[in-house]
Amino acid sequence: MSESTSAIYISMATVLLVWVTIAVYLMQVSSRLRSLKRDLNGGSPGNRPASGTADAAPDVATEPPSVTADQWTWMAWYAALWYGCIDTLRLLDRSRRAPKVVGRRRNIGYQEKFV
Amino acid sequence: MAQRLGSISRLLVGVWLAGVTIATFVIIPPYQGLGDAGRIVIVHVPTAWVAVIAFTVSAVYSALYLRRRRPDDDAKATAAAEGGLIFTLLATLTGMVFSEIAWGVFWNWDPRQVTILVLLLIYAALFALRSAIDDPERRRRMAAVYSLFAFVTMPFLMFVAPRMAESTLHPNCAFIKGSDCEGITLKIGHVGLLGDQKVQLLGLEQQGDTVVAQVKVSTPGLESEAVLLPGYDLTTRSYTDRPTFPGQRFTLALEAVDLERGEARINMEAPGSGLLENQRTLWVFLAANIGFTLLFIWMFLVRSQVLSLEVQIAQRKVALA
Repeated sequence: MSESTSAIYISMATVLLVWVTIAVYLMQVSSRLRSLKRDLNGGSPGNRPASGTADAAPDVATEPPSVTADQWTWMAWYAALWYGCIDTLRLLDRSRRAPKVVGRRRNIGYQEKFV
Repeated sequence: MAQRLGSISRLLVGVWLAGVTIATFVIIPPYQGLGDAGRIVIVHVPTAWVAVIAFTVSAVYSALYLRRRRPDDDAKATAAAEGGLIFTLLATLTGMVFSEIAWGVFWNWDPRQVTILVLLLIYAALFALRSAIDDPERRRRMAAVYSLFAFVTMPFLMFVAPRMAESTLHPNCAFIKGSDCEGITLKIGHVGLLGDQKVQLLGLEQQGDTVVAQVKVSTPGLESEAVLLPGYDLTTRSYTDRPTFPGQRFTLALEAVDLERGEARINMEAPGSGLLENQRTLWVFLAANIGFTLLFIWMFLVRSQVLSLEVQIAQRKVALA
């Protein structure tokens, strides 16, 4: 594996590490939030909180919980991210076959700047 | 309605960040001297930037808590500090990977690496403090005071200290305005410091229109030593050859030569200098900053909601007991 190929894979792995860390954190926190909302609304009638704290949450008995909507959002989020990763690889592959002279003038300028 | 808006916003953040990810690897050109490793900067800098925002938000809510004594403010301060800690950790990790590619080592106790580590430890101690106090009221009060003190150190550790250090490999503003090193003018036989490299001008030799300098470079502790021969063209007044420091990607350039006085200005060029001069890179970089900020807002809102609900449930349990 050449140095530049290795560098791009290391860069990709680094970006992936960032996304995975944030996604795991968000997933855990969102799951905790759902669980707490269920706890707050799903107890015995005597345990129900005052209306001020429960106004945003739907009644468990009459309406399905918001988990389904959240799941859809998560799936869409992951689909977008995965599409991004796959499309990136596809485009990279295409750009390697026909290399473009993109930004090269800039780089020349950068070198000349130090003259 | 609010729930639907929330879902749409989250989806938009996801799409935005997916776009930034694609752009990072497709739109940005490989960078001179760094190649594909330069792409890490698009993630590394925004994570550090968002950490600064997060710690500021945490300090604001800590101050509000001390003023109003509302548990909600404490929950928000904690959520923001938690986000800040995660983003600082990510900035450190991505920086380490960049360091390995650009400098050849993951960690070399560079001033910037040391200050971000200290910041990490300071904010990690906030959570240690919180977990050590049982009484909720006292815990919130102590954490708010600690958070304000921690915040005072943040600008110093993130912005001031690394720039005060004369010997740093971190390209402080090199990404924006070119190589940060001013360069040093040395007479033959004299010794100077470039980054963390000791340099000594051994001699200047004229070969036609070209001057070749003999520069001895050595790393701190004299772990390695080499003599480099950078060249300078007297007619075009530019360098002809820029040798690379041993084991690293920094190059040594002759920027000016005065043969009569026997002195030369030599400079160290860091790969990554002037990275944001490319318009595409600049726009993707800005988009990444916006995306990460939105991501932090999302994380902050969800986490602070969790903490507030935990407080509510705890209060209910106390009321029922």
